[in-house]
Amino acid sequence: MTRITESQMLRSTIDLLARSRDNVAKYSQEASSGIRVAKPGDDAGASPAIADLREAVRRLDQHQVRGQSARAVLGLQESIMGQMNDLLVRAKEIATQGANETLGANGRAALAAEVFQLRDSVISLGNTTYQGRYIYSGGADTTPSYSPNPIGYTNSGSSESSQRYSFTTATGATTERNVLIADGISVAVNTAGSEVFDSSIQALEKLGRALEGYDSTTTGGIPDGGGAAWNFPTDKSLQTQAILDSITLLDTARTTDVAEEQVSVAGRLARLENQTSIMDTLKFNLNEVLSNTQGADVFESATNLSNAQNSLQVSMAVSGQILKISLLDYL
Amino acid sequence: MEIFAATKRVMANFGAKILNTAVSSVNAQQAVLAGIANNIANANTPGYTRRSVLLQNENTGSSAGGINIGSGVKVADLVRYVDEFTNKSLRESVSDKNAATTKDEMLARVESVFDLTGERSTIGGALTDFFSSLNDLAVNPSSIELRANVVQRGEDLVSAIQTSYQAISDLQQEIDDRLTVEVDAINNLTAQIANLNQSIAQVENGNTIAADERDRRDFLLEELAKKVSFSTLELSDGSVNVTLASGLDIVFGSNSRELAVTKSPTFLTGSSPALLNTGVPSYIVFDYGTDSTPAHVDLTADISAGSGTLAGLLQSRGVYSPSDTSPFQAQGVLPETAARIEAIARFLLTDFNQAYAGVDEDPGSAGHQASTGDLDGNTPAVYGFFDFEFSGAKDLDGDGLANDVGSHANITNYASILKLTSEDPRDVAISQDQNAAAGATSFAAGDASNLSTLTALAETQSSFSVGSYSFTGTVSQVYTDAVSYIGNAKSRAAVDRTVSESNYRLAADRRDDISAVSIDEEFSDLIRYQKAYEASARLIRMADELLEQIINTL
Repeated sequence: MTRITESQMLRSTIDLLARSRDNVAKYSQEASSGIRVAKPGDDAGASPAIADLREAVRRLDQHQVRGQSARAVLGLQESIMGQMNDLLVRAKEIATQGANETLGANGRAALAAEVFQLRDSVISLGNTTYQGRYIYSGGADTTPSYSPNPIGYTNSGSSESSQRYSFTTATGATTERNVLIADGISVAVNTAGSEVFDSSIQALEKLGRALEGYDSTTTGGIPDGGGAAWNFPTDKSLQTQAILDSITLLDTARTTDVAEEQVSVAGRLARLENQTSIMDTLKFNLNEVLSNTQGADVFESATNLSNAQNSLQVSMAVSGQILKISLLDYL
Repeated sequence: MEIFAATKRVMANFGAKILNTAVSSVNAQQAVLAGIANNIANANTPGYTRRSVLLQNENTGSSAGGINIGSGVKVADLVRYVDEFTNKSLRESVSDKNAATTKDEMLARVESVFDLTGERSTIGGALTDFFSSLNDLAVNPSSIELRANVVQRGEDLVSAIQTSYQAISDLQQEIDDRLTVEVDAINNLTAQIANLNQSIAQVENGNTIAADERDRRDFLLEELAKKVSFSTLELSDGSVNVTLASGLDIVFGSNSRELAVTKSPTFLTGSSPALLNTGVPSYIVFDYGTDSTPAHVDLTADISAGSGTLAGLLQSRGVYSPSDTSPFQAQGVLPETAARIEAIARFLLTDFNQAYAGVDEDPGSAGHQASTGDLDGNTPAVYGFFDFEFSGAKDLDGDGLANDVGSHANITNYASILKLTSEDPRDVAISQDQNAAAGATSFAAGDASNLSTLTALAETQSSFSVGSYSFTGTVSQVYTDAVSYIGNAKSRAAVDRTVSESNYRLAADRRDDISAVSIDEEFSDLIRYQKAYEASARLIRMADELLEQIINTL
């Protein structure tokens, strides 16, 4: 027969109580925090996955914040392209009006003023800033994208028609910026101004100067500031031809450069939208996996907790009874 | 008349005999009762072993009519209820339990560095945030706010690495300091055991069992087993030899050998490997030399391989081989966890810095020509973004590349001295040189071309090698590997702890089964011997009446 001594009973009672208390503490922690794995040792198998998932969720959050910044910049560009389109449509209307040969030289010159205003509007669109930075200047974003060329047009009538605007030559003005919007997916948030505005500005300047009565020569397709004044009425047909050429240039600028950029920006915005909704789903799924891996089943924890509490109470009651019994009471 | 006289003589003889027997019984029962009283008194004394007084019937050889009736009872012996094998297995389980508990407690403290709840900052989170802040910069590279954010996140990363590393190295230092305390306690215990050996040999030479001394010695042996594991051998004179796993007798007869803790053992020929932060590790040694010329034997590895608190401490702190050159070569949980953090710090100092500085445009020429620039067009230094606190030359070979990390003889770790090169947001160099000519540079302030190279590092598979740790993967996978490593180590320690605790309970139950005092048992015995005592007392009275009757008839 095994001898059971008081010290054994006391030890097993203390053990029993300690274990029951441990369980109560563990399950109440689980039930109140909702977290089953708080430290790596709580579940060594799941811990690396939890650490990875946490970082993945964190990255998704950061991608979303970046996506919002990119969306703001691209949204601004989308509206600029809309305005550009309107400006070029208006310019074409003026040009069509000016091409009418019933209009005298003075009538055409009067139209030139509005054309140069339109050109200035294009310049100011090209010099749009976002958070103080010129968005069409690439890496040289502290330099305005367009500024008057110090060597203006020769043979100019009005001061406006003498100014020639050109894209900045600052270092890095054509570099593209790519913003990471998802793991491994980035989207360009800028376009070099020269790719979008140059053809429009050149077409508008040619139109304006033609309406004022000057020819515009080009070197390698780029206005070189030269161009002689026409003699009227001899050169009227030359002027009309130049106005008609400008209409073609305006159309080309609108349909190729501006429309292309408009489509490209819209496409990038759509990609961002798309990515955002994908990331929302992904984040939902990741969070679900994370909570399945790390989280405690609250109902299970609550049930375990009440079981643990019951067993603690029972252990206490039993221990109290057992330890109370002594032969001394009967002697 | 003759017959009457003879009868009276016999009766008087028997009366005296009964009286003697009764007296012997009263004495014997009293001795037993005293024994029971002692058991009850010591029911809760640690190390006390239950005893009982063994009685033996007395026979002085006097006979009545040729029949030997017996002449009472005497105290024959004192029995100690003890089983050496049970005690031995109890000591073994105490050693195991203490090793496992110590290790589990130490690891619980390391584990808290790797929080999984997302409530506290971790290296993993800081890495993600840092790379993300670089990506953020792409939207507006010349923005001072976004650049300041990169610097801030860089500082957060440095501080996450430093505090995590510091927590581990502080714990290692604390453990190293504690070795002295534990070894002092061991020396104190062995000296007491040696003294008791002497007393036991002296007492038991007179054939008396030295029960109290033996109890005390068993208790001290159990206390010793908590600290370190050992084997025992009882000699014929009752003394016990205590032998460590390495074969060293720390107690033999009435002598004990003192263990020592030293940071400069004589067997160390070169310089000692360093602890994770500063200082050198302590070795547990036995000094067989003289005061003036010590000579040390290394016991550290053998003690660590055994069990007991010391083993638990050493297994956590790491066991250093005298030939180690790096603190990360030590075998133990703390150095191996710290190696993973160090690997991340070294990655930032080398891989990240080199990507940050850009590609050498003109590798043949003297001096490194960086291909990246900051907001003011300046090219970054060798340790461009991340740097370390060190007064000597950092770029040992002067090749302008940050690849000398790990080869400095005077730097044991970089994690604790990591810092940012500059806290000025303008100094963040992410522009790439636009001038293709070698030696000539031209930067655009708003250019972020180098960002993609930097942020790609987060996903790049690299080789990490620190001490005996080597790993191939991305930098955040090193962190995950650390989580996995510490998680496995901790849960193994927790399992060991549970198992060893339950083994200890079983062993303690077995010991108590044999040696502990049961109050119930003592009380039933008490009643039994009390009754016998009462009966013996009644016998004396009866014998007295008997003798009185004889006297009256005379």
